[in-house]
Amino acid sequence: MIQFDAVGKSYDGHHLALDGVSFRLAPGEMAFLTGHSGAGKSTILRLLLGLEKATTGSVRVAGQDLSQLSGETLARYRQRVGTVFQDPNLEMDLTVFDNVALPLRIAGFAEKDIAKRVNAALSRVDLNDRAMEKPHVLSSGQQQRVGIARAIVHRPALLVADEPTGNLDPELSARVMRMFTQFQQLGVTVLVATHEQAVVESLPFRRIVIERGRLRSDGTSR
Amino acid sequence: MMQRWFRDHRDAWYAAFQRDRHRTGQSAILVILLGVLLAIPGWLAHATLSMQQLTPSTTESSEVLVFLKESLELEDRMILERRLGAEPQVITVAFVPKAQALSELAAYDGLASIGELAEDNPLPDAYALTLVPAAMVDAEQALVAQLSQEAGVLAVRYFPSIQARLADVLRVLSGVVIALVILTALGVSMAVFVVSGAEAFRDDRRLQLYTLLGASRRYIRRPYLYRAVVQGALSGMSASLVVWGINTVLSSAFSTELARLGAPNDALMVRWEVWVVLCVVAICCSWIGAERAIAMRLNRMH
Repeated sequence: MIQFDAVGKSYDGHHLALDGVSFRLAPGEMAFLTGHSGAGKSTILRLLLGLEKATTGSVRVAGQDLSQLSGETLARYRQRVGTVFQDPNLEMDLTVFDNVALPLRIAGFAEKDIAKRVNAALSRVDLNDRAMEKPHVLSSGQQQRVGIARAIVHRPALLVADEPTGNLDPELSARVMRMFTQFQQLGVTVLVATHEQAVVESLPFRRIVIERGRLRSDGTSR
Repeated sequence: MMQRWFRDHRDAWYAAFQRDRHRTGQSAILVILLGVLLAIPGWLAHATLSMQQLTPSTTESSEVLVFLKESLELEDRMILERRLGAEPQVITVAFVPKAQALSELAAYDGLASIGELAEDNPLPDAYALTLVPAAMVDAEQALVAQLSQEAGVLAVRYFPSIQARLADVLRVLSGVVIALVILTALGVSMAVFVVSGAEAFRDDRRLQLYTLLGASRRYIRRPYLYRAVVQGALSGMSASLVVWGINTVLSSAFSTELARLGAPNDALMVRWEVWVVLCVVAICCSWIGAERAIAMRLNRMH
């Protein structure tokens, strides 16, 4: 599903953010991307989302070289990826329903399908009863769940999360991680970037450790 | 497909105003500023068009005085007179002998003593030409230049008609209007560019979110462009109102003078072309400014 081959990324030709990073993630696999702040985790995610292009090496997703995509094709690729951030970045003017519906509206789904899929996504994160409320009345944990519902509403084959539990207490963190595990069991490839060791060590998934832009280790946490 | 097209555009219109509803004061100030800015070339354009309307309502002709050399023989003078009469722009040719010129000059108050110079009259003989009314000022000036080159001609004096003078002023004014329209268009585009750029900066997280959700640049830009179109249209209308206001005040202040010039009643009304051009220029410039600002922001993000 994901294939990083000797990927290097430098900014302004000097600062080397990634240096020869290689790893593969099979379809339906879940992995943690860990490392200290500034190690290069976010760069890997940005490359994976097509926000940056690799300076050397190649990044492939489902056999597609991301450096070859641009404009509309890149936008269509992103429509097939789900993203969860530390800050859910919700549109405060829109209702919870409309926030979750955003990826579907962008991708051009019919209104009938949108209603069905949004309701399904909201039930998955237990927020069906809050659909018509504005995000600002929700707690931060609920807002994060809205963000997760938005990330999975279009049933992406790949789910990318950047510090998804950074703002949550341990109980909510565990709940969010359980959700990711469920998505993985449904066949979604999940890559979670986090520096929280407790979260990583609590789950039996592969751990890709990045240090100073290089791959330090790649293996399961248990 | 059509349903999606309509929904995308409906959503973009909704987003354009939904997102802007907390900033109506800022938008209103921008619209008024752009309106005032656009009113400057707008009013000049209106004045130019109104002056063009005034021109045909007067029938005054330009006049040319052709002073002859003392040495010019009668036969040569007759040839010159025939040639002047044959000029298509010339209606009448009247010979003014120097004695007549002196007596006419002496008739002016305080110049009676000049009449005593009859024996030693310093004035030359002359031809007084009346030109075709509403002739082009360029053609009249060309004729004057041509007459100045004639062998028996001492000097030529040109007295342009009101039309000719108006045409001259209009030519300069049209150039000024075009230059001001270009400058104002640039100014409006820059103002919208700066405001939209600030807005895009403020909306950085939203732009990132939509990008990550797979929205195309066209989709992301649409609400900003629609708002720019509405702002442009409102600015154009504000400019038209300012032009109408200035015109109303000036028309009443100079009503007597304008009536003396024989201005038709509708010459003072702001013409629909001015309204349309102001709105179109405002919309286009506003669109360009917003489009550039958002495109630059998106480029900078990736």
